[in-house]
Amino acid sequence: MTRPGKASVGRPPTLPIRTAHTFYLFRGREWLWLGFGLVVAVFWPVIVNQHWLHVTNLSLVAVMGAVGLNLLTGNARLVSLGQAGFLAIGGFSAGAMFHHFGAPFWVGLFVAVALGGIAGFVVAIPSLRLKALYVAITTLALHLGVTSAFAVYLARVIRSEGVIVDPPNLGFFVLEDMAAWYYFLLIIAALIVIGALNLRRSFLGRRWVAVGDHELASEALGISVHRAKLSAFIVTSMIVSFAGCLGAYYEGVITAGYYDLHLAIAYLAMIIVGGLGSVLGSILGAFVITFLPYLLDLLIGVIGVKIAAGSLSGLHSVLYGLLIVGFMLFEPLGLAEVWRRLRDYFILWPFRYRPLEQRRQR
Amino acid sequence: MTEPLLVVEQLEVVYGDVVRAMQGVSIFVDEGSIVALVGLNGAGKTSTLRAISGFLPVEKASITQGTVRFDGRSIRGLTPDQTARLGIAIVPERDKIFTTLTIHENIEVGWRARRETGDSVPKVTLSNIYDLFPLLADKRNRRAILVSGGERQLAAIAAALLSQPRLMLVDEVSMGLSPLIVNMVLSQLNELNQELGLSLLVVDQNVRAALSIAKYGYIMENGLIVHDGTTEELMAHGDVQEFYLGVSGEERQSYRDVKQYRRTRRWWA
Amino acid sequence: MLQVITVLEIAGVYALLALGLVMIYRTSRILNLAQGEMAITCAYVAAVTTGAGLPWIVAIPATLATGAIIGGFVYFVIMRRILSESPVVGILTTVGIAILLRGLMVIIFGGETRMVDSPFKAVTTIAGARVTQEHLIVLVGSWTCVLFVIILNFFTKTGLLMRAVSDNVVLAAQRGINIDRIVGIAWVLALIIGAVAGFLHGQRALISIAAVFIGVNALIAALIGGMDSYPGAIIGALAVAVVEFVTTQLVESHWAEIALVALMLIVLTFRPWGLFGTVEELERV
Repeated sequence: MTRPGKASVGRPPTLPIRTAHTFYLFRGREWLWLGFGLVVAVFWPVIVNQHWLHVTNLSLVAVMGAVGLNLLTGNARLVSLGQAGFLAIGGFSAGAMFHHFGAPFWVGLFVAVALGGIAGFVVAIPSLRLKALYVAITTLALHLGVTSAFAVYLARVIRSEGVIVDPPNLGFFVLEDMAAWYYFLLIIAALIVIGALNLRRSFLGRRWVAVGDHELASEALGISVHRAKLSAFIVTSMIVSFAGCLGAYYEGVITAGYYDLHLAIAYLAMIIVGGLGSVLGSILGAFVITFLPYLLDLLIGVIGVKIAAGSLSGLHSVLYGLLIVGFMLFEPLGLAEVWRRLRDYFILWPFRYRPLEQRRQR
Repeated sequence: MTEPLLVVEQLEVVYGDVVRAMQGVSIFVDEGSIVALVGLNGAGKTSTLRAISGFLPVEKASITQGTVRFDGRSIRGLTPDQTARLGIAIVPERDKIFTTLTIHENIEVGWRARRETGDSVPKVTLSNIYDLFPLLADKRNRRAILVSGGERQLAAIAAALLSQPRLMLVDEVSMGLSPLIVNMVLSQLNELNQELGLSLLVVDQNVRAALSIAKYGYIMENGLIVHDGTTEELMAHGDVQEFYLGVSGEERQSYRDVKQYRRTRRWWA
Repeated sequence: MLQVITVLEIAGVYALLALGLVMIYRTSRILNLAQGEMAITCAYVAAVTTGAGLPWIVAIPATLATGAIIGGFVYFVIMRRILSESPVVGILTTVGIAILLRGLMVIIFGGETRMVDSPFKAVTTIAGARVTQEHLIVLVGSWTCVLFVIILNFFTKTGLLMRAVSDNVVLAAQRGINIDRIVGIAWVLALIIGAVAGFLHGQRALISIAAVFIGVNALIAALIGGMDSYPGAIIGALAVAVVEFVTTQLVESHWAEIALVALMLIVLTFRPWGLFGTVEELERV
């Protein structure tokens, strides 16, 4: 580590500090882990069967939605209960574009993003005046409004329980089987994750974090809190609607009942369990929450206990609730924090504290 | 000689693992006496009171060294309501009253949360509190937020008094009050000390005011006790006169000449 | 006349739940989103005990005890530790508890619909309207409890201490109030009130997992009235009851939620702290 420019009496230390050493993507051994991860990711459809591949695909969609929500609720600290509403907008775009216009996949996505941005804008306006709790209520209102409107749309316009959409035609092939979807979703999710990481380090993202951390101080520093909140809502709702549209196309059938408050809470659980404000947390949380019911079923199947169908959903809920409460009690910073501590432990062992110079910039 | 009611020895308080607010502070308060703790802003006076009454965790601070003993037993680490139950009442610096309650209710809170004295009839009760504080009598049903600063201060003292304390920690009683009111409040405290034998630890920036009723005083600076002595000694001390009482001596030129105030030259000048 | 009685019944139940919410919010600054689930859990206990043929002398204490146990457990085991964290954590914890309770209800009670059996089945006439005694009990019972709560808060020692804690926690501690105990009492009381509400609700409506909507409506009522105001909670409950009743009569019940949310948004847009809430509340983020 180079020494910063020497200070002389009366003058603060000067730059330059050698930056190459402080900013980097991965170093040394971590490239190995990355390689290993890539191999696993590429061969995943071969490793697991269709059932678990399906769950993985669901998780990937969830990752996108969770990343969006985490930027809003974790970084900008705008608690949003409207997640299901924005996802529903994505679903609606997918369904409506296909049903009425027979439009291709891309159009649906584009419309989803556009409508999502508009909805984000609409929700953001009242929240500029209100404080945390009431922002959450406004988003709840959005949820109820959008889901009710969607239900009415399905009942009156489509006149059926759901809309069926064709598998998307990407031009060079059609996304029909599970594996194709997997690679597609994996790439898109990866792009969104990288985008989110960059977004967080950009001017916009830093403004969100500042506003989320301390509004008054940010305002005093010259950050327009209103613009920051507006942009946070708009950008994140675009991401979430995008995810909703993809999810809708993946399912193939779009119903109104899917977008309920339970879904919004599931996403909140994802970012809480994963870790508020952390992109890694969004990923971990999305996978954990999505896999949870299926793992539980597997566990029950392995144990061989006979459980009535009704009680099963109850068991899911109990576990779910325990997970949330447990994390809030013992590790409010989520799995991301658990991960960091584990990683630090393994990296540093047998030492216990990381020397200050090598503190990696997060 | 019996041990003083309150013994603080070599206390060290650290805020957030980073800022050492007090180091090696020792204060003794005999039963039935009035002791003053004075100093400029940031000297560590409020931290001392917080350490005694148990409010440090609220500010993310902790006692890292030293002892605090009340009536012979250690109270270091006790929670605020535990210290209150032992007989330490605090009249805080800000937020002296509950703004949504009336004056009477404010005082009543002190009474309802009082410690068990074991006496059959406490000397100060809800019925005779207004004899001690006649100014509050006609304001008793007024919402506390609508009452003047001096009256709020009196109400806060009354509430603290009703919890049957043995030691009252009075934090910045003169803040925001006109000198006349300050004198009135202080003489009220003096009366309480004389009539009820209540021990007082008076913390104040206004040295003259604090020393007007105290018998013994400690002067704090930057987390250290730099001087202590009886009131007469302190009032006669040259440095105290210059820097706290506002009386300048002829031979002093500037604070730079005073040994205690010699600062090391820092690189940012 | 029958409509008035019905509205007052509904309002009474909501008022009780809303008062519980306000009590919890005032003392611990946490929005208990699990209020509905907790009330319905107690209602299930009531339904099961009466369904098993046990008289009310047994059923009522059982229900109230359930409420007290839930309240005590939630506070002393869970909430106490997270009060120091940011408010978001507290709210999300109550969400977790709500989910947990829902699951438990499904497992333990099977998620079926029940009602609380009542030995009072006679029909009386009041002001020209024929009313079953069950509904009368709900009406009288709920508002009596509301009165109790108000008296408790404004005229008793515990109420005074709770008001002090709600005003300024630090100052309350400095005055020697045992904050832990007061907040614990608040939680237990709020849950007992919720148990009463659940019991009464079971008198007039079906109890199922879906019945937890009463918690949502009570939340809306409390928000409209002002989250830290007892009279506000009552007014809010009345408003919610009226809106719900009217929309259910005119349109279908599906629209009741939308109407309520719309009402809440309108009120909050013009008075973000509720009709009777303290203005300062908003400054706390």
